[in-house]
Amino acid sequence: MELLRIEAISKNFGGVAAVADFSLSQDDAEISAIIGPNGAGKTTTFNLISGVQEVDKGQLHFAGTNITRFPSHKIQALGVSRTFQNIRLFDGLSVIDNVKIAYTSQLGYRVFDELLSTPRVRREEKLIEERAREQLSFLGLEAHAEQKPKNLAYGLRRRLELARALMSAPKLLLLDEPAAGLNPAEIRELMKTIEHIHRERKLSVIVVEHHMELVMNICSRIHVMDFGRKIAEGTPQEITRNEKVLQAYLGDMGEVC
Amino acid sequence: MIFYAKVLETTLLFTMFVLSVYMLSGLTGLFSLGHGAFITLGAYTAGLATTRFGLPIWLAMVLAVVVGMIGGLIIGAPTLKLRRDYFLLVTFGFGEMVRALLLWTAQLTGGAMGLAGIPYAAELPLIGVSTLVVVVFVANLKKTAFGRTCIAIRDDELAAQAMGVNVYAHKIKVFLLSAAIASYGGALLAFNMSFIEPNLFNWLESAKLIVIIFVGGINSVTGALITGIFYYSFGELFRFAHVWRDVLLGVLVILVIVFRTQGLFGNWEFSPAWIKSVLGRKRSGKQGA
Ligand SMILES: Nc1ncnc2c1ncn2[C@@H]1O[C@H](COP(=O)(O)OP(=O)(O)OP(=O)(O)O)[C@@H](O)[C@H]1O
Ligand SMILES: [Mg+2]
Repeated sequence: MELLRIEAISKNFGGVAAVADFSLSQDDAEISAIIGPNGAGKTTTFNLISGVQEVDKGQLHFAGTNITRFPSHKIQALGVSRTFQNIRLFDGLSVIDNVKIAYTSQLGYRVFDELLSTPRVRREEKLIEERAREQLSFLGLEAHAEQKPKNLAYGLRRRLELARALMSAPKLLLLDEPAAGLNPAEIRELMKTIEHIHRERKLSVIVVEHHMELVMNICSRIHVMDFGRKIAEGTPQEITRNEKVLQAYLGDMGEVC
Repeated sequence: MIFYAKVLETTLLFTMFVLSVYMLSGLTGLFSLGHGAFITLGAYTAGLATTRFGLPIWLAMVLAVVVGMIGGLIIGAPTLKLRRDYFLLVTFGFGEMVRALLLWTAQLTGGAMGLAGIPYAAELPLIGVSTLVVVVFVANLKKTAFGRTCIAIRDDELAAQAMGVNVYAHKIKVFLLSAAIASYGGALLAFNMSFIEPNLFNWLESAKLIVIIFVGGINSVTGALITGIFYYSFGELFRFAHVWRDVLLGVLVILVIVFRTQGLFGNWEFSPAWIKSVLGRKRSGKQGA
């Protein structure tokens, strides 16, 4: 079933058309990829889907709701979760509290309960704690729960972003270059993790990635962007044979391989 | 004895102000140079309600908080959407505006002559209990989702919003709570001093509250409390050395900036869990020996 439908969205920055007339349809149990050379508009597309930036033109529909003008916290509450290309963790919070933040939209208690530290707060805090620990142990981070993100190795920080994104039990997960900066062993681990998440939690995943092995192995559908436009779409086999795609990547070959 | 009680009263009142700013500046990273305006608003509302309108003390206090929060909403609603530096400027302007307003409406407020004859209703027990309640409230908030959200907003607004935090709504909540505490403290101040004037709490005093929080450590309520208590009781106890208090604070600020950016107390909180861990460590140490 269709989960996300993007209808011809555009976004300009000054004179630069970062995204132009981009459309996409994503099913509810699908792993797909958006690939393209540097500056193609992939991150901007994620920003538009997650509401971090507003579209200039076009529409976004998620799970039957028109989310085009929704602020990002509302889109997250509906079930869209994401990670960032340039890791954005909360340095003032411990590892586990970073994960807990993503629960905010589901929070049952109110400020008044918190002031008085009512039993309701304590009950729900326990539940939040359990759930956050589940995410951490799922990604092998439980030993670091009380540390500050700054003290984690790079690969672990990437995993923490993933744990945080999973905390809200999303329907759609947007991963912006999850393999960037990881070593080959870590990338293999990541591939397993993504497939595991997809299988166990039955969620839909879109990855933006330059690492072709990862894309070809785990994605059933690939969207190729160049200069903000979609230049091709298809299965991994179709994409590797596509003339336009090869052309777009010609100046960028080093990164593809 | 009376002297020490007075010192304690003043110190506790100012500690309440430190806590109100702690949530706003320490936890959420929003800087207000007009926080004194809420204190002044609370004080004048309480003072006028009792002296000019003959309202009972308790109602005057409730009114003070309501007026403070309305002020917070008027200032906060349009500016908390903007960048943080604009917020700082607008709060500064608000502080000056409240002062000017009190001077212009001299017929009602007494203007620069101040407002005298406010009933002396806030003695040590009331101030003590009020401060304790505020301490508990702030400590409770910091422990749960409210406090976590504040810190997330302070660190990265965009990421917080993408993780489901309604950043604007949360900032409004923080600001209103902070304004409520400040104006309540202001009302107590009026009922404690019996005389108030428009310069009660100027922007420099507001800035001092922020400095105290940074010296104590923005991640520690305990740090803000201890630093605040130390600073204000020092000034009261050693009136002759009043100037030296600010010199000491200045030196501390520089030392903290250079050697200990996380503040004197870092992440440390005084709590039952901490006491237990210290006792536990001692006991296990003895067993080992
Ligand atoms: N906030 C912004 N302001 C101005 N220009 C921007 C902004 N964000 C992106 N751009 C521009 O829009 C274009 C698309 O950028 P985007 O970050 O979406 O590319 P990308 O495909 O994610 O690239 P990369 O692979 O390098 O991450 C680029 O030309 C970029 O310079
Ligand atoms: Mg990008």
